[in-house]
Amino acid sequence: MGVGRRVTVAVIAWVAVAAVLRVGVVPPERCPAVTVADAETAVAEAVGWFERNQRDDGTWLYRYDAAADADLGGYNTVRHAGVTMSLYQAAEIDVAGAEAVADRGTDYALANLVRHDDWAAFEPSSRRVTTGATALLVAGLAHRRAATGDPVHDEVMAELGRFLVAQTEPGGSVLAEWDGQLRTSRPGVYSPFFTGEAYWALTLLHREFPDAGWDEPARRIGHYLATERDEAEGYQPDISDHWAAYGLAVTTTWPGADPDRPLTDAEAVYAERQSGFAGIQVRWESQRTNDWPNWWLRGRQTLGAGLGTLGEQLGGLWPVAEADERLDHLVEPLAERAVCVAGMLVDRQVDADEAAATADPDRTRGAWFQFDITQMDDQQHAMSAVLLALPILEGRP
Amino acid sequence: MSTWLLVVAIIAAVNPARLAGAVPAAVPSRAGVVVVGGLLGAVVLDVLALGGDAVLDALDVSAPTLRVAAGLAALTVALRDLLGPPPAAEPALAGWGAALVPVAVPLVLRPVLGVLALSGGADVGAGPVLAAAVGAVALAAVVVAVVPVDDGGTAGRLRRWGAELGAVALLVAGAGLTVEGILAV
Repeated sequence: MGVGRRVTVAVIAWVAVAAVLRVGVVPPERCPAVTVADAETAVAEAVGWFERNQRDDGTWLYRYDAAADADLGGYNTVRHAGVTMSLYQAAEIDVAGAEAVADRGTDYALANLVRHDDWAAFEPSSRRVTTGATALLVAGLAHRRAATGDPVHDEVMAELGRFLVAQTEPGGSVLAEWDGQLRTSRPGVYSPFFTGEAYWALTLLHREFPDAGWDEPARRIGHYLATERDEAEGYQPDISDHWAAYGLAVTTTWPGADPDRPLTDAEAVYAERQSGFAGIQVRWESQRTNDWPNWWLRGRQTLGAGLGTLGEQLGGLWPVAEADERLDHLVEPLAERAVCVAGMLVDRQVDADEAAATADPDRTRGAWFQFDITQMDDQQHAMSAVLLALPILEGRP
Repeated sequence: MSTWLLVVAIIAAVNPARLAGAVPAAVPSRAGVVVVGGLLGAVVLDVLALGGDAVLDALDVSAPTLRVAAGLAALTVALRDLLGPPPAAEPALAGWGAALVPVAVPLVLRPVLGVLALSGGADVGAGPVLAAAVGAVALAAVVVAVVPVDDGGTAGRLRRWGAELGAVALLVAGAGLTVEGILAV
């Protein structure tokens, strides 16, 4: 081979490597620009969806197929509590209509409590009483209390909190269910999400009622999450836990928290690891276009709920990084990824014009669809993610 | 990005023993040719590193994702160097021209080094990229000066082992960069 040919081959190698990497490893990460006004509009539209699609009993349209214009039925108690909670998050920043819609969701939940010993739990129909539904109801009521200062639900919040404590084992693991037939917790049954939900709920209870001792079980769960949960419960890789992120964020605001290092060492390590898990997923999602060959290499774009939970995780971890000096280096990338999620969510939400072209605009406007189907938790998680991105967009801590 | 990981990756990707083995015997100064050609390549890599941020912005790529690309490229090259046949004799320009071909192109300016330079520039700045590249060239010059021209005996074996050691180091550094890029926010 002559010199000229060798140089040509070298140039071709550069071009080939660049092309392969561009297509296979580093396609563009598309993070649509988003403003505060865009985000506020998206939240208002999501609240509007919940308002229009709430039934008389306080429940919501659960699953809807826009192509067939069909209510697909079904319901999920945990998600009912989650939607209610998310609406109270919106109420906290005075989004019009959010509190009233959430209150109707709360009325349904409080009319369907299971009581045993000194506690109460939310479960309308099944003998499988989940920890998650009660935890998210508590979280919602805590947000309501923070938004309104109204103590009307204080007593039931304590009852619900006692159920969460009863489900918490000495090592900090959280049992997922209570058996309504046997009248006892189901041993050895855990959930990938309920542990973080219970943790968050108890951190909020301590924030609202600092003298009631809710911090002890919260700390126990927090330590378990940070040090044992993924290995003990067999999650490989670790669970990307947005609920734990919410809880960590609340602990940094607890009365008496160390102003520079509010997290324990283990929690700080956990927060950093969780940040990474969320980061790679957002970068991956932002590369997805649903076109060939990208679809083949990256898969289809995720659900509104899937993308929303990533935004919640990042938006939850961002104030944690702001608060704890050991995580200073994460503040900027967390903000960047959280805003990226908000941009994608705003971009993918069905707006009024798009909804007008569908069979039932009331059911499509303000929603997030995948394969023409939306589920109420798509709106829940997406709305929460956009809400959590707002302080970043506004440049406030 | 851990700066040391980048430095190891760049030195291992230049692979001083491999580079030294590819320098033609019939040049005025084999060490001199390595230094001149190597520094020329190092300067080009540093220019790439200086433009790392701008390139990332233009391509809508985040620094951690490019780090994954750099790590995967390093892993691929390392596996090829380890498992593939030994490199064939490179065609060379005469005299000091050998500094340009084959030393600068294609031996130092390998595509994997371009990706490492872009990624390193965006992550830790152009300084460490330049330092690593210059260090690798210096090591190659030392190898050329100390180890005689391949005579099919001990010298050749030493260089081959050195080249394989470099490939193993690239494999480890590539894996490290990939994992770091995946776990970064």
